[in-house]
Amino acid sequence: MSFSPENYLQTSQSYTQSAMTFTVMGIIDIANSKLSQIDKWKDYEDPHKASVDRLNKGRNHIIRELKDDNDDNGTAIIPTGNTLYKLTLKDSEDNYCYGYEYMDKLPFLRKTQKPAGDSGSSPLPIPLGSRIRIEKGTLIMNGVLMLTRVQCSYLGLSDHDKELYQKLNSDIAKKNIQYLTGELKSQK
Amino acid sequence: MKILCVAEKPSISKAVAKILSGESTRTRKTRAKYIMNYDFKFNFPQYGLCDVTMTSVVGHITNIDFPPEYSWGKCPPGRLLEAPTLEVVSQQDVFKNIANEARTANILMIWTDCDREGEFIGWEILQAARSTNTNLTSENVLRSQFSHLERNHILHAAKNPISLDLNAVKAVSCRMELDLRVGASFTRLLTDLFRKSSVANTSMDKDKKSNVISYGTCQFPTLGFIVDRYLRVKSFISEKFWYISVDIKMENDGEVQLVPFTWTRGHFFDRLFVTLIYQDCIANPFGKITKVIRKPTSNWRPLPLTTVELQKDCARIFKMSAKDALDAAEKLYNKGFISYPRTETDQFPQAMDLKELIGKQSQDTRWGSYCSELLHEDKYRTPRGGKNDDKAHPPIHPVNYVNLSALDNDKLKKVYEYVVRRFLACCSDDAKGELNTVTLQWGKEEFTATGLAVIAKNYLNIYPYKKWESSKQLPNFIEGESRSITGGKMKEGKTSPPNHMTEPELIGLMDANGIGTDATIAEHIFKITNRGYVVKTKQRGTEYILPSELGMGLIQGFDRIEFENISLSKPFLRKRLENSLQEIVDGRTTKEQVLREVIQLYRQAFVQSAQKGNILLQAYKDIIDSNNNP
Repeated sequence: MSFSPENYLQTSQSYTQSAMTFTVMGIIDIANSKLSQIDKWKDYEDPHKASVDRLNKGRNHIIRELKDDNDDNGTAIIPTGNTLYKLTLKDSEDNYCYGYEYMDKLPFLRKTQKPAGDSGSSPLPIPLGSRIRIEKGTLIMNGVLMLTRVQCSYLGLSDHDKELYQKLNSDIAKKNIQYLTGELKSQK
Repeated sequence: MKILCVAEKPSISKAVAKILSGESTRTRKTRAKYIMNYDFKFNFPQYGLCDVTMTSVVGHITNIDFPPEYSWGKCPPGRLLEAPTLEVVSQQDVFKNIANEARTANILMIWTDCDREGEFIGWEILQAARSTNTNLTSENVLRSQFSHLERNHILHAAKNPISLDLNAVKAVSCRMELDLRVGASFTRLLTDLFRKSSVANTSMDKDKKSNVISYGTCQFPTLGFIVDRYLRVKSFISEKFWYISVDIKMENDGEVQLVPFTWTRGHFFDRLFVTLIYQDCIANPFGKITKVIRKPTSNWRPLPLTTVELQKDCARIFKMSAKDALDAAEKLYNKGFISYPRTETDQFPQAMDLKELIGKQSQDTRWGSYCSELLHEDKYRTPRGGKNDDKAHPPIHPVNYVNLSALDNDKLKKVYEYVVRRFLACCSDDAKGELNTVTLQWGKEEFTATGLAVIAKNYLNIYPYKKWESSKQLPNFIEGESRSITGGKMKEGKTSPPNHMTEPELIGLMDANGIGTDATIAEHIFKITNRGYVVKTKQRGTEYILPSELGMGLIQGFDRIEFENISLSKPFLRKRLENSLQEIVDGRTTKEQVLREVIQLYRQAFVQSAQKGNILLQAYKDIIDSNNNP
């Protein structure tokens, strides 16, 4: 089943007619400034090059060193602060749309899901290229999907998406820093 | 039996001798300036009535240095990372006085400050004593534990000594050796490099107060915080954000009042998202009052005072530098007015008689009546306890009363008054108020309005350094009622640039990142200021710390060198060392192991710095050029 947002642009409220699967192509935290997100990416890329002039930076370092050894899925759970995510989604027919966390927070975006062996804690809560499922009856506002915890679930990485996963996630810190810096400069 | 007692400072030796002797001492001059020997008798429970000589040192009496063949210019600076070291007596007269007095002593009792550094000075005193009396050993030396000069406390310390903590001695010795090796090697490298460079030579004088470019393992991370903040301010780009605000018109006591409600979600950096939500809200002309909650609220009295908090508050309230605040506190301690001012502890020991200390302050005309209220009108409260206990000293508190007019200068007066008021605030009740919170649902979104009524100021009556005022009161909303939305707007805002670094903030950062200790933080800030790496500047009444061209150049230069997994300008390496020193104190590792590991890291960084010296110079040149051609 596909989803063409342009069909809903003029409709302030409608609902999906069936369940759909999307690939997550982009994630951005809209509750935090781009500057603070650039900080997080720099810290992730190399803590020795990140700014250390803010108190929460020191705290982040301490928190990041704590790992949940009991988690047998190879997934470390790292607490996150106040965030609200906007997802760029692609359906099976390569239609792109946005999805926002809406009335509640999506649990799968509240812990860091990393493949086993990855010791860093990425600012992204889920790897790009992951799939999510959106249930029938999800609110659409002017072509944008409004995601809630009962209507949206995390499916993880599909074997079919390995190439896409590699492409999207390689050098991700550099790409995000470039993207966010570009966005910032463009609004100067 | 003769017992030789040695304190860390002459003022402490004098005060302790006065207490132990019952003010009956025979005083002898020594060849060391400021130091007197006090002879008297004291009844120690374990030894009976003894002849006592009380004397002191003036801080460290020995030092470590390199042999003459490793002096500046005689060896490559990198050799200093593994060169042999010598122990040198730096205070000959003081050393000799202890050696002389120890000749006939049966017991040595150390009265240095109860911290790591004090433990090491105790060990230095023991070495001086052993130079004439080998019967005195680390096994039989006694160590008194005290944190202020109140009579009963000192008597208890004299009668209940413990042993010298040799692990703490090793930790300080390790820190001193590392500071010497790393500091000397990098300082010589940087100084030689900059002296040889024409670029640096012509522009350095205006920045520097001497021709030495010193490197210190704490100095540079301290400078790094300031440079990072400076760059953050300079590179700041304002970002737009959006939010929804709601006003509701209400009648309150016959007057029309516009009550502003705040969106519980805050604001977002995405216009589309806020537009969608707003569009959903404005479809509804009415909102519903879903909750009206009136509940008691408190403004908590402060925690017991630590050194770092004292320094931060003195900078914030009195615009006093960390060093000036600590110096003033040290003077007040040496005069016996306040407790030992270097402490991390923010909880009072349960057994401590705080009411007695409050009683001593009752005679003051400014806060005396408040003290009487605390003691006699059932207003006294047990202080809150923080999470920190250094196991050596209680929080900073007044020990004896002094009238402010009897103190020498303004700084002493301000710090004493602050310590007393803070202590009295700790022993008072929290300020009490009532918070009225009204929740409005508009569409699917929630908005709140709050009104605060301060009912009892309690500790705020004695603590003018903090404000907590009543706000405008809310009209009477009724739960479940519908209200017409007078003004529901989607608004736009902009992020504001951060401020440059202030001293209280820098102290907080250093403390949180393990750069220096409560005792040395002030020194490091003073040192980078004195070296000309930073300058202090006032903007709209607030003092900020900015990097100089040299300070910027050094940090950016080190950041441009691609070290492997370490940074010479960030706090991580020093923090790791502080943790390792604590492990030595706890007996979990050895001095030798820590020296090996840390020197290996610095050696790698040194080799790269030496090879890429031109990068350091270029960074400095770039800063000068960019300032000349902005």
